[in-house]
Amino acid sequence: MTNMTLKINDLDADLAVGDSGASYIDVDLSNDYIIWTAGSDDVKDGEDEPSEDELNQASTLIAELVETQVAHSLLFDYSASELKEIVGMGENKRYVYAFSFDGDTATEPQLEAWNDSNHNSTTKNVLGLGTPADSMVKAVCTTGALPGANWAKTGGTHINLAGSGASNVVKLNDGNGAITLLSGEGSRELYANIAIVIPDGYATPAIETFVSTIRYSWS
Amino acid sequence: MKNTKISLYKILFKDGTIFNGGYDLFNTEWKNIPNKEIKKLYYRLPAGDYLCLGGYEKYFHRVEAIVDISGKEKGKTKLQSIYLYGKKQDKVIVYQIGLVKDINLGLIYKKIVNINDEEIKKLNPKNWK
Repeated sequence: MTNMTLKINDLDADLAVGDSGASYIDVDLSNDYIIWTAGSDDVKDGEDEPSEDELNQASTLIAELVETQVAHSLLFDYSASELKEIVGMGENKRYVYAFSFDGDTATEPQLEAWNDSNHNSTTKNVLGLGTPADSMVKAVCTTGALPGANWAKTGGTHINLAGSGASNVVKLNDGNGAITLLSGEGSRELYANIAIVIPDGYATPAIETFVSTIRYSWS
Repeated sequence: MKNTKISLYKILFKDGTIFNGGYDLFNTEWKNIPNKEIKKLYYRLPAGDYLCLGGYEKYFHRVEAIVDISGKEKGKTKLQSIYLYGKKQDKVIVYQIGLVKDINLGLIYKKIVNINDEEIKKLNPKNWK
């Protein structure tokens, strides 16, 4: 089989995995987790694991007249017991989330979003209340190129992530199909940028979780 | 689906020889199939019976999985389906065998698509046998 490892950039989102000076954290998917937040003195890079109160105080405020992009995405790094800023999240940056595959795939890996680990519904507010086109989770494949300015905002190059419909998943190899490692190549990294953008005046404040999923296959 | 005694599939080649596949879906041995013309492919289903494909020019096999990167079950590689493909002229027959307990375990879905269908074009070309 082929294994997938998630790496997040914690230094310079202009540098790919393996570039001189690049720094990525291999995410321990069993223990680490990602927080979307407006940030605060207690919820920022280098701080320890935030309490529920601290997270609530660092919630994103919904603006009345303009859409609001959640300002920060932080990884709680369990082994280091501290928060790490995911560098380049939501910006016009290419190397933010790296999905590393240690072998060939049979199909093109894709990124999806669901209510929960049952992977059969997208009815949460953040996922568009069952209308994938209204999902607030915005993602773009950056394996081949920068996403462009304001890619996550209305009119940008993003895909509204929700469910598994062809229009609402991100093909991580730029739509070029399965990946085949070259001779001597130990892994292949595919890249995406992910953001959350809340519509202006959205009437239902909520604390919601969602599940991001990578779907892929091997022969 | 894991069985330490019975291989996932058997391939009968036109020269009369047989290839036994791997013993679990994480190690299928598909890439090690000799480059010879296949006469029939016998694929063991979750219930223990076999699906037989024969008469195709080329065959393709894949195991689909998902890995959550957030949520309660993040990090687990969860098998979803087995896909078997048989190509003949400009058509491809596709069998999907469900692997998700309480959802589609053992259910078989069948469709026929054109060779130029996006799904077929985006498969890894190295893995056709």
